[in-house]
Amino acid sequence: MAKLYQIQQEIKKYFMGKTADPKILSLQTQKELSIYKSLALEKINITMKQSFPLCFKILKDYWGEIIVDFYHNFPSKSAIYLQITKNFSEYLKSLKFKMKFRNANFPKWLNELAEYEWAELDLFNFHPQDLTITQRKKDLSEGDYVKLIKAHKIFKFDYPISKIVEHLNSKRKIYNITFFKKQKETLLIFRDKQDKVRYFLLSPGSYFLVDNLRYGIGLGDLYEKFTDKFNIKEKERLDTNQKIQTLLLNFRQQGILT
Amino acid sequence: MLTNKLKFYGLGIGLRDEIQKDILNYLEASSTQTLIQWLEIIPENYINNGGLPRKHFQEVLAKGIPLIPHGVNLSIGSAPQNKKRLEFDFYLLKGLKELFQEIKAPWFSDHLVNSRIGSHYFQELIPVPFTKEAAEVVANNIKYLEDYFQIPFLFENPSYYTTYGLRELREQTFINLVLEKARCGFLLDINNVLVNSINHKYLPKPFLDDLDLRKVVQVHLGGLKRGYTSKLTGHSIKVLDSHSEPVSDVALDLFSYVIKKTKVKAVLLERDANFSEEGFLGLLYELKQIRGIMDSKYDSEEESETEKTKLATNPTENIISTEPVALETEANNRTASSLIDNKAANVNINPAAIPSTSSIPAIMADNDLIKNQLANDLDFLNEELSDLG
Repeated sequence: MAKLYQIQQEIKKYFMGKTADPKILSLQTQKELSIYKSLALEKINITMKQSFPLCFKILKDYWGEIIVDFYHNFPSKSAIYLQITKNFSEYLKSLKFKMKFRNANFPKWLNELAEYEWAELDLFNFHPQDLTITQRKKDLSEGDYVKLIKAHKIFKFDYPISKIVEHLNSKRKIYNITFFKKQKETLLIFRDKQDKVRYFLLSPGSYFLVDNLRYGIGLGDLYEKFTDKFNIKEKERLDTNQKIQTLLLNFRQQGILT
Repeated sequence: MLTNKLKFYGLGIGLRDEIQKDILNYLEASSTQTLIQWLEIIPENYINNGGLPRKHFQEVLAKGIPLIPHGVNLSIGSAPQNKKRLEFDFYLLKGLKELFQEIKAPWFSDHLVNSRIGSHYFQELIPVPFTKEAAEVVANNIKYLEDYFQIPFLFENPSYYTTYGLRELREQTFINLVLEKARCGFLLDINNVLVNSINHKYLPKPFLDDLDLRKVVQVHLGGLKRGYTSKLTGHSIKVLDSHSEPVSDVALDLFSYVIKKTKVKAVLLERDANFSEEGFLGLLYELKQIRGIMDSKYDSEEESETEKTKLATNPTENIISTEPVALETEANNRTASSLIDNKAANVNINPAAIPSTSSIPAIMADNDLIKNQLANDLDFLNEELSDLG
C-alpha cells in the first residue's frame, strides 16, 4: 500500500493536469477525484467571473480554457480569497498566459485592465484600521499637515484605462475593443467614505501633489515644492495655492485625506 | 483538548455575505428570543480583510452574538514529507490566531480532509483514505493545531466521493480512531452522513451508532443536491453535499436520533449557496424546525432529570449509565423504507418554543413551497434508500 504522502503527491499531479501514477492512484480513483476537480474549477470560474467582470467580457470566448490553464499552471499558494484573485491578475499578466493564448488577439491593454480590477477588489476589502481619518476640518491653513489615507493606489497606465473601464461598464454592445490606442494616464484609485471604490484621473500637477501626500506633508511645504517644481511665477501663486486647496478639500470630502 | 466543559451555544447559522444584512436585521428585531443564538464564520474570509463584510462582522461582534469559526483550509489530512516536520501554512495560522483571539472563539473546526498539498491549495476538500497511517497523520496535525491556538479543535466528517480503492478501515472506525488518537472534539455533519450513506450504500443510523457520539460538540445540518456529473470525465455521483438546498426530513430525523443519544453544544443550519429561492424567511423556517426538535429533546431531558432526582435517593442509582446508550435499538434494524415512513413523526415541532417575532407569519406563508421541495427530495431519497433496503 502506498504511503499517504505518495498518494497525495499523485493527487497533486492529477489536479495540476499532469499524469498521475496509476499504480498509486488507480484510473478509477482518478475518475472519482474528477468530481472534486470539476467542483474546484466551477468555484474558480464563478469567483473569477465575479471578481474580474470586465476581463471576463473581453475573454469570454476563451474563458473556460483560461480557467483550466490558470488552475493547472498557477496553483494558489494561499487560502485567502484576495490572494487567489491577485494570483489570477498575475496570471493574466504572465508570459505563460501570453504564450498559451498568443493566437487569440487579446487587446494589449488586458494586463492593465486586470491590474485595475484587482486594485478595485483589493481596495474594497482593505482593512478598516487603515481608513482612520483623524481630522475633518472644513478649511485648510498653511500650518496643516496633510496625508492620504492608505486605502488608495496610484497607477501609471500606457492605455486610457478609465475610458476602457467606462466603455466596458456601459450597457452598449462592445464592437471594437482594439479601438483604444496608447494614451498614457495616471489614476488615483481609492475607497471613499461610502466604501465605494472610485478613481481620479491625475494631471501631471495633481500627480505631483498626490505623490507628496502619500507620505504626509505640511501644506506650506506642499505649496513651496509645487511652486519650485512647476516654476510658478509670483503673481500666479495665490491662484495656484487656491487650486491646490480646492483639490485637497475635494479629497477630504471623499474621505481620503487625513 | 477537553471539550466537556464548553458551554451550550444552541442554534446558529452561517454568516454569509448574501444574508448578512438579513441576519443583522433579524437580530435587531428579535432582541431577546431568537432562532439565531450564534453565528458561524469562515475565518479565511476575514483574515487581513476589511471592507463591508468586515463592517457587518464587527456589527455582530458589537451586539455580543457569539461567533464560532469553521475553517476550510487547515488541511489536517496533509501528510508531511518528513514525519518530524509538520507542514502548515504559517501565514494562515498567524492570521487565524489573531482572528480567534479577536472574536474570543470558544473552539474552532475544520474538515477531515486535505485541501492543500505542500503549498498548493486545491480550493476543494479532498478526503483522506481510511487508513491507520492517515489517522496518525491527522491526529498529529490536530495536536499541533490545538497547541498552537490553545482552544479546542473539532474535526468534521466530510462527504466523500472516492475511497481510493482502499478499505483498510471502515469510515466510522477511522473517525473513532482519529478521535481517540487526537483527543479532540467532533463536529458531526449529519447531511454528510446521509450523502455518504446514499453514495456508498449503507444505512445511516447503524453508522451513527458505531460512532463515538460522546465526542460530538457541534452538529451541522445542510441540504443535498441530486446527482452531479464531472464535466471532466463524465463520472457521476448520486447526491452532492451542496449546502444549497433545504435540510431534508431524513437529515432532520437523523438529527433527532443523534441528540437523543448525546448532548451537543451547538447546532448549525448550514447554507452556503442558492439563497434566493426561498430567501431568508425560508432559512428561518428551517431554523424553526430544527429548534422544535431541539426543544422537544430538552423537554424530555427535563422530565428525565426529574426521574433521576427521584432515583438519586434510591439504591438503583448506580444502574443509571452516564454514557450515551442506544435509546432506539430497534431503529438499528429498521429497513430503509421505515426510515422514510417515520419521517413525519420524528420532525417534532414544539410551537410554544418558537419565539414570536413579526417575521413568523411571513415565514408560515412559505411553508407549502418548502414542504413541496422537501417532499420531492424525500421521494428521491426514498428511492435511493429503498434500493439499499
